[in-house]
Amino acid sequence: MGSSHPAPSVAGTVRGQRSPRARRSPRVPAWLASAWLASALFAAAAPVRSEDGGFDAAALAAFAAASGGVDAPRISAYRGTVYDAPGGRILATLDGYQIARSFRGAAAEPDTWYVVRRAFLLYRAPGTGEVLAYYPDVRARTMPAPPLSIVRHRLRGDRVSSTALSGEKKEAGSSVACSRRRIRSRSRSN
Amino acid sequence: MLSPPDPQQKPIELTEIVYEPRPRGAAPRIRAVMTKVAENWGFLPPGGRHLLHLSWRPVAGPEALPPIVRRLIDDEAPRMKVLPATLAEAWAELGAAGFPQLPAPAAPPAAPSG
Repeated sequence: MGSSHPAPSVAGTVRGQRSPRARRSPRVPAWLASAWLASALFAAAAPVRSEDGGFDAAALAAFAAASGGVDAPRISAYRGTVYDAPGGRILATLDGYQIARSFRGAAAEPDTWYVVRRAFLLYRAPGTGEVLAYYPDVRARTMPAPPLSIVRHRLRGDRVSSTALSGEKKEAGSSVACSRRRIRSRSRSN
Repeated sequence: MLSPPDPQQKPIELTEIVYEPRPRGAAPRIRAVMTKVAENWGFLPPGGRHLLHLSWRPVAGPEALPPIVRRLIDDEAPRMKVLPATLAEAWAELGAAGFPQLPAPAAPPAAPSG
């Protein structure tokens, strides 16, 4: 995995929002619920603005637990689409798999969580389903062992700062081929 | 089939993660939307930029995955199904003892005067 590419940086947001089901009260009349659902669906189709701040330790813990199981690894299914931009033409669809587990940071690292994960990504042609690529490409034997990622989420005030290290230990020599990502998250969670 | 040598090395412009809590113990939903520069994606047309919408949801087990994904993992990447049991073991697999110190973010350019 050694690469001359610079370590990519990621800047983005982590946002929390209650699902429509979470907001729904069982005592709400059906007609009102229907009207609310219609407006919620309309709102869901519209872009949602990011909000700064509002993240706390409990929300971070819930987010970390949702990313990876705490007591045992959690398996997740990936679904995705790759679009041409600008233009919006669908270039590929994506299916995949993630296995992840979350660990709370040590006492010296309060409000810190680590998510350890492996991910498998499969890119396919739209329509035909032909396999375009998959990762890690073990068929090419360029990566004998699936790489591992460790993501650290740290609470900074009411925001979350995330850093990722991924790669694999090289058997020969002591060098480690890893990529490093820093994710600065301006976050809000309910 | 073309395959990028290392998709995780691709420059990423923006990652947006939405964490959505759900009631009654249901698993929360996480959605990530990423914009990636295309030049290093070997199987995509060169030039321009591509937008990747990616979401993931917890599933009960591998049997809930698409059959082709499950087959590829079973046949060619069985280690993908196993994680280190502890954080220390994970660091050992990477051959690292923790995160290296990252350089401080660059200071923003000074505003032009006059």
